[in-house]
Amino acid sequence: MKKVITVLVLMLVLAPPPTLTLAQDDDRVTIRFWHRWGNVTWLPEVVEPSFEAAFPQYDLELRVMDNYNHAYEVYILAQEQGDPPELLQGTSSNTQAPRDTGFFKPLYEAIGDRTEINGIPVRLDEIVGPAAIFYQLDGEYYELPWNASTPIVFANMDLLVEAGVAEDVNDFAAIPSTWAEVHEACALIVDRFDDVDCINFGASGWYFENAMAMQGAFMANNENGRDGCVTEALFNSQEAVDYLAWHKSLEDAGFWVDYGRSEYNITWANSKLAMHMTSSAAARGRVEIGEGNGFTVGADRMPFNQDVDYVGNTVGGGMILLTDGLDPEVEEGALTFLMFLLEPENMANWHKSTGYIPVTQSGFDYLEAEGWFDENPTFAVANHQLAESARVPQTAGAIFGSFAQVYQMYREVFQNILRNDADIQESLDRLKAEADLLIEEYNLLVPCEE
Amino acid sequence: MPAVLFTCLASGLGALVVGALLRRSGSGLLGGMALGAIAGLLGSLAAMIPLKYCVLDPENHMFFELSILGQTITVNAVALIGFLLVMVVAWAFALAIDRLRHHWLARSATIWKADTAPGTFVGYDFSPWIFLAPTVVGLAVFTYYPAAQNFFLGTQLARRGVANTAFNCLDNFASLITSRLQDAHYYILSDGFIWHAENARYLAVFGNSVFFSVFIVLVANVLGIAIAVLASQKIRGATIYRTLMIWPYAVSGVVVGVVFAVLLGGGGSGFLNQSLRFLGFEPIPFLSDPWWARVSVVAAAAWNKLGFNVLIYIAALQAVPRELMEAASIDGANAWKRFLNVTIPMISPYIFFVVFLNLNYSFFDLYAVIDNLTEGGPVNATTNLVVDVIRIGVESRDIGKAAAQSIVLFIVVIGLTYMQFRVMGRRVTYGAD
Repeated sequence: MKKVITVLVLMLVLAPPPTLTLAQDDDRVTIRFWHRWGNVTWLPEVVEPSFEAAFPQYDLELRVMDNYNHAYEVYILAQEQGDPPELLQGTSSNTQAPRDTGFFKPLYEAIGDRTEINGIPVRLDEIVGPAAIFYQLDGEYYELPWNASTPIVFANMDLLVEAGVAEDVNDFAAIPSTWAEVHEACALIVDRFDDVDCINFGASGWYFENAMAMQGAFMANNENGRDGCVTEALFNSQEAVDYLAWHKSLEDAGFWVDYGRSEYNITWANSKLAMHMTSSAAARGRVEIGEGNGFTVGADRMPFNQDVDYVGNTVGGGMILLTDGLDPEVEEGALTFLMFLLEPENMANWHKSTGYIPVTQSGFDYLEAEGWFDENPTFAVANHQLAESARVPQTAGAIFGSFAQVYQMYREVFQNILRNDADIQESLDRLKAEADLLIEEYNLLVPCEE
Repeated sequence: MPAVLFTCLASGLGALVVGALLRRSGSGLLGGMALGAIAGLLGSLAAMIPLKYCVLDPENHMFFELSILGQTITVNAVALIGFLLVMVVAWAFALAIDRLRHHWLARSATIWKADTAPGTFVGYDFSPWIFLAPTVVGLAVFTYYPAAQNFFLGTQLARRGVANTAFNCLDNFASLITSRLQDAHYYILSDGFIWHAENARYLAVFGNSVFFSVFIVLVANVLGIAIAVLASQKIRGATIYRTLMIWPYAVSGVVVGVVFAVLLGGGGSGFLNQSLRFLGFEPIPFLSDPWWARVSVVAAAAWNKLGFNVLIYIAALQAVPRELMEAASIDGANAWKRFLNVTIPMISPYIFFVVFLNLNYSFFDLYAVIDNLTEGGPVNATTNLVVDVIRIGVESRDIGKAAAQSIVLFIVVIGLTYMQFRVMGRRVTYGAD
């Protein structure tokens, strides 16, 4: 008898709650969106219910992936098994390869000349600065720019004031904005404190890409692939050497410190790091840590080379890809959701939740009308930086299929320069040669169509 | 014409090598040579026909330089790997032919034996195959076929998400020991080096794997035995201590990596460095210096394995007969000699078992620890074979090159396991007699 009762109790405990079955509505069209924002509760708690309330004919299914790579890898598997999601979040460092798979439908094809979808205005013409040209080819959008960011410098203003770099904690203009100013500020900071590191940023491809764009240099031939197929990388130009020489000089002077994974959070929280150059998308996290630990967080643009004219920054982050071959009503639902995300209020909330820039002008205006940027000047820096950036191929980013693979190689080469004092020009020549080989291999598999 | 010459050469070499080897095992020289020649011929054809004799392609120009005793030669990496491949396949054919020959002779003797007992089944018995079929089919579909696909993939230029592939001979393998861009140079007893390599990235990654394996096994076992000996003492609360010591084993590699990253973090934020600073010492670049980073990985991985090792060694120590220890004491052996000459031989099967598992862990299961602790850096100092395969195959989606690396890893593991059984197996004492 005991056994029977135990089994019954177990069945009751393990049985799915009845609400789950009642919630199913077979008439609804399911829109699956795979993204990597597991830590942003705004998506499942606000966006999903509000979208489904506004469009009850759709059932939005959000699935969180570990990272961009994982999402793309699983997506390829899903394609091979014939059941891909309708929408996938991709990354800015992997734009061309997905286009070459044939798995995705260019956004301009799906939208055509419509000005609204399901009653929501198409706001693609409102997309701002480099975020617009980054995801366009010949003026047409292939993907939806969404989580766009740009590198900026966050500063512990209390430390900067104490070191004599800034006059007061609201003096964000005192945050160094050129390479030379970084040296000057770091000299003061290191001189003032024994146990505070001056600046930290990743030895990664994104900052390199931005440093090149800021100096007006191309990453690849044929105007970054915007004026023809990329057949050659241009990583060994003088601009590239200058950037790495600056980075190396910071390291040699003890101003730049290399941290392991996530370690900067602890250092930042403990006020042991004066400046942290990272994605503007980290604004929410940086500011909250500062508030929680009693210091003011300021922000300013990514430092640029004072010896050349500033051209502009490029965007990072990601975009949303639309699967090709969907049934018309499913595709309509997916497009509806994409346009829903671009609605000013949603754009504003997305920005507030993360720090990613509002990619539409209406989203920016909405925030400005609310007085958000006046109250939170740290969040305004990224938009200002991108607004100042010229819409030229240099800031549009390079497009070639093996770009993501080349990105992996930067880190190795940069660390070799910083750690092992490898010759900068020689290292970049080798990086360029290896990248050229990867480009050649990729072009062999996917012949470039002019 | 070069293909015919290549096949003849393989045949001749097969005849010499296999003939000499079979002669050593007691077979006739001529028979062995004939067998070797056939095996060499078949091996050459079996290896080269799928490869379309590409190793002879004059277009192929992946070279490395080899200096031996001051003499430098330029070696065609693709041709070298092709030759080794032919030899391995030929050797497999020779073994298979030899086995078949023995099998056929034994069967002939049974079938034609005049006094075969009544009821002896002299025809071919298929029943074992029927019983084995479910397992064989499962293995074939889920193991052997993917493995064969991997070999095929290793000869392709292939990327995830790209439908097209292109045959690229053995370039994926050759690029591991040389490169079209870097001048890989290997020195053996040359230029003041006993052994040295320049621009040999994969060799450095390989070296990291060996380093981790040797030191993780060493640290985890020496400490494991030492702690087990201490934990076996009759003290109050011994059971609680033993239970607590097993806990690190229950922690996943990801958690180990994160915990050690917090503990060892450079830049003054890690717990250890904070403590050092507090005591007035300079912080140690645990994660940013290549050698310290390697040591950190060994420490984290050994700590992770320590609990399991201690558990096994405690059980092993309890199985050592008390009489043997008493007899050794009576014979005048002190505690250290008893430990060395009685305890260690008695627990040697356990050591063999634990070393085998630790070695496999060090080679295959370190990804989570490394990825969360050092991400393979700095400057690839902690990138081992598995991390490199995942980086190239998953992160870069260059699955042709990743497949080639997987095959190398597969060969290394087979070799290691074989060596371990040959070398260590002999020193293991099973039972008290």
